[in-house]
Amino acid sequence: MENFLEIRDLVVEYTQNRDTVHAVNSVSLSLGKGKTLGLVGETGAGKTTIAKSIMRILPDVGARIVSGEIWLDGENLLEKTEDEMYDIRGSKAAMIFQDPMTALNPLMTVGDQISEVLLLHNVKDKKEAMEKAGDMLEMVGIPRERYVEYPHQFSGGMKQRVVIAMALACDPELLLADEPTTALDVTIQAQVLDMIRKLRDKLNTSMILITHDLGVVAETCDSVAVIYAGQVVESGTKEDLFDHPAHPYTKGLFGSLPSMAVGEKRLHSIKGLPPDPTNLPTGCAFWPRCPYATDACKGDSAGGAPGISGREITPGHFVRCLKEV
Amino acid sequence: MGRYVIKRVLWMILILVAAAIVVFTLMYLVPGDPAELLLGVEASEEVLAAKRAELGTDRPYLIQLFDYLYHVFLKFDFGDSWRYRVNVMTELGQRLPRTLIIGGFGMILNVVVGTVLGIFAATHEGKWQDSLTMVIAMVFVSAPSFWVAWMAIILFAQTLMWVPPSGISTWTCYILPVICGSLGGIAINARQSRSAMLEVIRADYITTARAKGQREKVVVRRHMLPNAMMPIITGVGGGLAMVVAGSAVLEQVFSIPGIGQYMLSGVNQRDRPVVCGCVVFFAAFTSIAMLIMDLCYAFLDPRIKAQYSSGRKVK
Repeated sequence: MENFLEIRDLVVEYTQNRDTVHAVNSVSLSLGKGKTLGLVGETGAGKTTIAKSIMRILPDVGARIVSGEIWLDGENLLEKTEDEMYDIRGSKAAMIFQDPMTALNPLMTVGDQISEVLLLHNVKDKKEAMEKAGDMLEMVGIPRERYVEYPHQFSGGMKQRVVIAMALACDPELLLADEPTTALDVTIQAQVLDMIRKLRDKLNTSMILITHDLGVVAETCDSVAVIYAGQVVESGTKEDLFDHPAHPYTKGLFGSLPSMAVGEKRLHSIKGLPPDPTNLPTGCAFWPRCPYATDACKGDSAGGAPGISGREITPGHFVRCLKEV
Repeated sequence: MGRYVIKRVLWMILILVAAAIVVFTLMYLVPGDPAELLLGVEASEEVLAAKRAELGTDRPYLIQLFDYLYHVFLKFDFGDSWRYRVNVMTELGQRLPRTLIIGGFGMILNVVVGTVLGIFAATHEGKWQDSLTMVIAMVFVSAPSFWVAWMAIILFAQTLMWVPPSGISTWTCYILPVICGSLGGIAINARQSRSAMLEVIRADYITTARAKGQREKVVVRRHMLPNAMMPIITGVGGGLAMVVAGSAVLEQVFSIPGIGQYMLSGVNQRDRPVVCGCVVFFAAFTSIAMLIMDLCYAFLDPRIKAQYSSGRKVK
């Protein structure tokens, strides 16, 4: 296995009041050791579901990984037993959650919450774990005396730093950062991102960064995958995507960024709304919003869509579109 | 924290005084002459007058009220029962252990069985284990305790003859009252803890705990349960208050000379010192139960504790 993380044809569904939500539809991704992959897409596109599938922490009720393979360091995580997963979660792969306000247990001191993960994996002795948790707090810029304080005594930015300290406590080889800065204000965002980047480089961690923010992707990632309606519509290196976007959706995303140079009056947007995941359009999921859509994009009567399965336009740059660039 | 407790205890005294005034006034307004009730209609006017003077009922209302409050709150004396001439305090002291045995063991059963059932149902949400538990709980929430008690007597005491049907002659007499007394509470607590657990089961910090590689059992015990405890404590606190105040029905069915039965007989016989004594005692017991409950909140939740110690207004 050349890649550290390789996801193949992952399909995840949620069941809700007898409706099936097609959250992730045959997603394939790969990530090298020490590299960072950005997952970009609208809310509800399935980004968080992909990350939770890797950790296998999707909710028990309603969520189901239908098919696919997730290879981490040569092992298929989807074939592991729950007991084997306990040793991977938090230690080999760790996750930073989106909302720091709710990601911490309000009834436990922040220090104990960091020690908890240490005691589960690296450290046997309680004293040593407290010592190490104190080190982690200092690493993210929180004085170690605040070990005994509770989450309600921390600000949002500090809580997110605690969450980051918790995720990095056991030196994970894979870090899943699920919109780590969305809930923070802009100045704190820059600090937190900077810290994540430094820690990643120090520990040579591979990272998947989930975000809406293309600026963050440009600063942080090596490669990018654009997710739309549970599918990777375009993926490639950061340069491929930023300089030569091929899929109409990716182009639309970049087109939505206001340009400071031109002095525009109105913001551009992609027309329409993301499709209802319980009832995806046949063929290409994007055709109802796509300015270039043709009859071929709508799929055939059987619901299939010949040709819309992804093409490699330049080495390593994949796009799921019929249109020739 | 200490200041908060002192404040609460002072409030409690006020509540007790108010309860005493209300119940004394109500009993005073009950029609009929207590002396006549005690001696019968044939008693002569002189005898009745002597009785009234003895009971103190010939004095004006306010004098009687202040006299009662003075004795209760400054001398801790509830007076003697009009009918039996026994001091109410002594009688309460004798009967309290019996009520507390039933209520106390009932509460233990309630907390342990009810909470465990609730957790069990919540962690099996949507499966048959959940539905079965909740259907059984619904049955016992709806069934009145006296009916359950009678059915239990018919089955276990009369038909199977495992335990005596009534009385307090041996410890086995307490088995049925304890179980019958706790079933309703268990059912309510099971439903309460199930919904409390379901509130937190999808919380983000539970996902965080799982993402750390924590074992599912530890996640339930260390992360879910403490966070689900608030509504459970509220329910249990209410149940604790009912231990004494709700004891009348069961004690009547099982003929147990406890506090509830004492108050019922007091009411039937218009025995003012007994009724007033019991009600003030119930009020005290309930207030203490509520105080313990609030202290449990603070003990469990650092946010509430911070509120108490900073002296901010508590809702």
